[in-house]
Amino acid sequence: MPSTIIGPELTIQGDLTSEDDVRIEGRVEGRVTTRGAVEVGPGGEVTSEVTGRTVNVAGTVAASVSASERVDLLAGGRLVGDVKAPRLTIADGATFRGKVDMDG
Amino acid sequence: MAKTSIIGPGSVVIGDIAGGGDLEIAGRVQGDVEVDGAVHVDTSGVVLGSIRAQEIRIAGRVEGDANASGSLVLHAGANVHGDLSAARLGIEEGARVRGSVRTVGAEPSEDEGPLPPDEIAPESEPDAPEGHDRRRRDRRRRRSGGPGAPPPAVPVVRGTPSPLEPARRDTAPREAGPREAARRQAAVPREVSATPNGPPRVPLAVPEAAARPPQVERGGPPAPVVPALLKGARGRRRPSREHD
Repeated sequence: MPSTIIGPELTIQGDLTSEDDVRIEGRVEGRVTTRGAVEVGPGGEVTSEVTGRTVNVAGTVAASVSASERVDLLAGGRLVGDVKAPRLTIADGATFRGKVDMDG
Repeated sequence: MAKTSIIGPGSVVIGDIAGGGDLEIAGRVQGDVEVDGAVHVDTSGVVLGSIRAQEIRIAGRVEGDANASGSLVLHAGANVHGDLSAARLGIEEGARVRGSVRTVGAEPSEDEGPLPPDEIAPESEPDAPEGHDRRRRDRRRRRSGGPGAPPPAVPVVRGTPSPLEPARRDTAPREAGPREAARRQAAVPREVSATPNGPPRVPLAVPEAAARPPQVERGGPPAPVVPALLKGARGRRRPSREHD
């Protein structure tokens, strides 16, 4: 259970930084940076860079994603931005446009 | 049902938070918070900014104002530097507060006198001068006990005078003086008797108007009592109307 949850009706006009897991079901108009896991739920939206240990996208991320372990773009997810992670999955039904760098 | 959002103890938000649902802040927020639900600042929570919500409970640190439309409670362990306002306030023993503390209720404040009889009249001044008539509208709403303005006794078509109300000049300031007072006196019983569109309104408008002497107009001379008009005004045009 993530320690930080941004509910579906909430909007953060700014950056969110955390030490723990984060789940976004609302909107973050800024960066999300954490040392833990980032989950962007189906209605969630992040308009700026996402950085975490692992990043799950079932909603929308409109900027680059960077993870130290893995990035998973789930069905229904939409990612418009570059991905930098050692492991990546893009599910059938996801939308992706950007560059991928798995070698860093 | 809106979900509860949580800013966990290890999280920092640099920016404003706005939206719906409840919010629990156990981390740090450097910005303003405005939600339509409840905000709970935990003992580990820090908010450097204002908080505005339906219900606010503070057990942590807040550097900014807190405004609740419902209840606002400071628990032991709270440390608030800012102004507090709410309909219902509570401060537990052990809470620390520095700033003004004020309850803003739904009840009329004491400086407003008893309402003059024409408060029952339907609103037909969409562009009325703001301060004065807004108070009238607010008091009319409170008087009838509903959250919004009560429906008029007759349909009011904007731009055309309603059959019972005189043709009001929207831009003209509120008239003071005997003519206005007579108009108001006469308007009340007509409202009660001729209600084609709904149940008769507030029957106590008539005894109130008769029993209570007319109140001093803001900025005008006291209105005279005109009992003859009260009796004979039912369903009839007021004599002063032709002179408007």
